[in-house]
Amino acid sequence: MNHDHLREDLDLDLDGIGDVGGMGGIGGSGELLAPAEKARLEEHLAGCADCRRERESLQMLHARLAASVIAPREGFTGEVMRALVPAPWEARTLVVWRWPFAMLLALGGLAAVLLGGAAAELEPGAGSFATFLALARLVESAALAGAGLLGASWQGLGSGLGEWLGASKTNLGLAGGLLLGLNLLFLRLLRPSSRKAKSR
Amino acid sequence: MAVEALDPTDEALVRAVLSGDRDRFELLVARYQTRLVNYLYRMVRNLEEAHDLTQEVFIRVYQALDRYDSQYRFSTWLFRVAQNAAIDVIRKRRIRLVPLTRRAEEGSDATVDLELPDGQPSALESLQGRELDASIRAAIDTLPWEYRELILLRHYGELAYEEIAEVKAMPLGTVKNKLFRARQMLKQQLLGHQALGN
Repeated sequence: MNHDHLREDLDLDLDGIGDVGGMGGIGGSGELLAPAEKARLEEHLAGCADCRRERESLQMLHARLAASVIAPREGFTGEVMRALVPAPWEARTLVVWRWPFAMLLALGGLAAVLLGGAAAELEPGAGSFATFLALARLVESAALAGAGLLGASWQGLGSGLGEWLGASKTNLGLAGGLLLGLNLLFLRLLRPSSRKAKSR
Repeated sequence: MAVEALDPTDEALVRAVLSGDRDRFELLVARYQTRLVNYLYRMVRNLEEAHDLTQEVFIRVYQALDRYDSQYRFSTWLFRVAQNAAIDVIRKRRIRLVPLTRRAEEGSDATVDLELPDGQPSALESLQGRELDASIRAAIDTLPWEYRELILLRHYGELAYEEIAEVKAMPLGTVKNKLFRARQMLKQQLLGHQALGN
């Protein structure tokens, strides 16, 4: 065993003793030297004045390094927490949806009470089942009216577009060009992200 | 120093934050803020900037928390982000270099020196108890970059040897050997300044 190698062990041993970060050593302990290596080192140190001096100067170096650690400014943790902006992944957590869901329930409840009250006023003396049926019919009529409007507008848009396309070949060419342009734009937008994904 | 197992572990805290318990991130901030501020202070050599950068690192990490791969240690991920952030600042600073002199008066050929911050802690910093061992800092600054980085990660980032090996993508044996050499250089440098033991 040479002298230099023992000095490396000495340095490692002192670093393990001052292992501030934790888990720096063997098997997750603070010790960086195996027990057999440590015993050999101690034995050497007992008979070598040079290495004992080396140990002292290294101890002082470790102490100086430790003493130069500074504390962050007061209230820094709070500053960091206040500076955090909502992350995109937060939208996927259930907790985030807790309040909107509660609001939706409350509004739904309020609407039910109001509509129930109105129905009871329109048909006094009607039972709760009859009130419920009246409400269901109201919702059904609203849904049918909405669907009808939507269908009519799409139909109108479709027939209008058909008329315009059939009016001249120029219109047909223009529509084809527009479609091609949109496809190219879509491909252009896709290309950089696929390159990034590959580089990752 | 005896090793204390961290409870809850970093990984458990990350899981809690990801499941919606945002306040658990505060524990991670409290756990790492001193280590990051110290590490970044020695990297960028300006305490205010080190605080700002530490805050930025935590924000970046929070934003990307869902991409954290728990098969690696949280600390190594955090310090890799910090290291990249510090290198960006240093690189930008080099680009922003300005001439060290300016014309004394319009139309005159005479020049005067510009007063630039010297990277030393201000009087205010000292007054606020942020006193730094200047001799240690000067000695660390003389180390070659690769050795300096390891000293900062070990003694100010307080990373374990295995964590440094992960951050630097270096074999564990190389980390041990380089840290030994770095401390030898540091010791020589400090002995040269008669600083060790005073």
